[in-house]
Amino acid sequence: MFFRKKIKEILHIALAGHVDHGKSTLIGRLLIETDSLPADKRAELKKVSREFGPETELAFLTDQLKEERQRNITIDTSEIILKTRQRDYGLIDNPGHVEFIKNMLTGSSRADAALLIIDAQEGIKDQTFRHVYLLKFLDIQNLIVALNKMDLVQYDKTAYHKVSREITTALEGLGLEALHLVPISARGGDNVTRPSQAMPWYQGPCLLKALQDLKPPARTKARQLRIPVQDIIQQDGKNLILGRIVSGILKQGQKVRIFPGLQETHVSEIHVYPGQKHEALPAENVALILTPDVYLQRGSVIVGTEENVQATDRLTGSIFWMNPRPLKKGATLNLRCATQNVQVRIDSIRQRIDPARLQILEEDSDEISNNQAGIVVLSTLGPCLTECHTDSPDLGRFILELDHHIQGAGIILGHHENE
Amino acid sequence: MSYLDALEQESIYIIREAYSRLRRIGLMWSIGKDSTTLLWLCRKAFLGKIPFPAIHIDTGYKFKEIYAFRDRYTYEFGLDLIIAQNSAARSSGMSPDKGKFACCNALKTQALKDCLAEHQFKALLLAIRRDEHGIRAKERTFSPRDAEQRWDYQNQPLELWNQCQTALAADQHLRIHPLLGWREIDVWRYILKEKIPVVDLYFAKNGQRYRSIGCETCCSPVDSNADSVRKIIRELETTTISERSGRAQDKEDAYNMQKLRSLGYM
Repeated sequence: MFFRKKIKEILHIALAGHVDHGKSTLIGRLLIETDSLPADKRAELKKVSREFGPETELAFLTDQLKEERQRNITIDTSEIILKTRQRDYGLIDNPGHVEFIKNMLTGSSRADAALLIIDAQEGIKDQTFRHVYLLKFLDIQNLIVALNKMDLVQYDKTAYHKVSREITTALEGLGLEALHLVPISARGGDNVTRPSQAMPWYQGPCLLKALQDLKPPARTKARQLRIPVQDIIQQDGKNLILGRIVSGILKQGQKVRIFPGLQETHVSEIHVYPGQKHEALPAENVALILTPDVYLQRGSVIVGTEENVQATDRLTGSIFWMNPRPLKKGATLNLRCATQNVQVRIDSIRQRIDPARLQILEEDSDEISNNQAGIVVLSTLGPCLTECHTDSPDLGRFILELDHHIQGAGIILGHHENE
Repeated sequence: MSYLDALEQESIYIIREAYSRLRRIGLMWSIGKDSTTLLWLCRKAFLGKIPFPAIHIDTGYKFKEIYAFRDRYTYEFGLDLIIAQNSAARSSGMSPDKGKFACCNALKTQALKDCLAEHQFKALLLAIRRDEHGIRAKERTFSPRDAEQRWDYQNQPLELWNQCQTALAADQHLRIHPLLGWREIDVWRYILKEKIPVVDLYFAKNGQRYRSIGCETCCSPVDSNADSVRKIIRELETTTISERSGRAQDKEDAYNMQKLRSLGYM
């Protein structure tokens, strides 16, 4: 071991919730009360808050852009470290405005867990539901709900129970469950890092304690060998195949096949600088020498020989669309999945979904509007090796590009038999 | 896979992705601990032979130890090094006395702009981290810049699942940040694990050391007795002082970093 102490793990938590329900303020409160901030950063926060008013603006810790402070909003996602004795947390702040939903998706896509904030007085709003929908879409199962601004409802337990019931039902509808529902006041500090005297009726843990129950997500279950080829470079007259193992174990000398052609070859060398390996595991980036040196390119996928690799060109996907121009049935777009890049056509839109209401708007629809979701059937217009997202996240999710810009994201729910 | 191994593998993936998708890229090497770690990761990504140049923005005000370190490892690692300078501003006497913002902007940002134009890079790898500064925490991994190097921080692209936007207009470039998710202490733990060489200025002499290095004129040391990597790690586990507390360009006003970065600063 290099260290006497074990390195504390870090869990990334996405803050979710509607505009002004208190995401950034809660982050500030947690950081101040856990002493996670260096002294000079704390002084800086006080100083800059004074330009805006008498109180220390807790939200300014993550709302660092001048425009965010002047308009009192969060525009883009950010991250700040919360230090506790057990472990560290990367708190990912997110904007609550619908206009900035792509920023929320960007930030939350690297989260292990989520903290959903709801204003106890205002209750559930559009972005409460839309964010919950996206958390589910991102496969974030670990979730805590904080009912904020309890001071504005006189710490009333009826208000807490009412909103708790509503959100629990909504989460259940998506197959999600909150580990805890904590009544707090981020501004006043009630139940944030210590129990509040104002809410003796609440028997559960304070928020900081509740966070300890969040668990890192389970790793991918897929076992078949899959290495999407990222690049091919030449060194010393040899072709080196670069790629990251997304599933399976790669052994030196192993016979493999190259998707889509399924030509057979051998892995003669596995390079991981500064040496060679006999075996490489998932998440490792490797450089391979294959003998014979078969033709492949970025987007080819190295697979094992034992299993049946069947490329299906029709997929059912759950997608989220972020472009003012609606996604129309029949449209062709560019799909990227791992290093694969292929044209796809939207064959049908089975459901159009309004994530702000968690409602199906229409079955068999012609289009999906900006910030809406849908279940679509699409055809790939070239070879693309994908998996169901529950089997392999890396090969089970994709982005959609239109005019070279990422406008949508999707997860694969299933494959259709080739017709 | 250990925590540090996971960080390393994530960064190597991003570095390879940058080269795979853009090809004409350069590595910004300030010779500090972060960019030297990034350089190390680039060597690992390409088996010791980095297929693109390293770029040092030389303001002329760097510590002499920085120049010595640069020259030594350029040779040892066999780097293709580009030294970028704004000689016009230097000879007309630009210095921090003219204002730190003006000085950084002329000697760093402008020098980089000229270098980009000369070498036609489509992307630059930079070793910034989210935990360094609140403005850097707002960054994307692949961050587009326009012809004037401006950062449109109010309209950043969607980025998820390692899928990043790389389409560029002819005069645009990308800033790519493979270490964005690392913390200061992670960098030092990795330096210890990998035995990465770093400039001596980081190690305490006579009760002081530098935590962050740049131009000699604008960096102050912190009180410390940490004279080894292990001791630095121990110090960071308990410190109450932020990493860039000794960096003058952050201090001129609250939004200096935002202004500098929106104009193309690193």
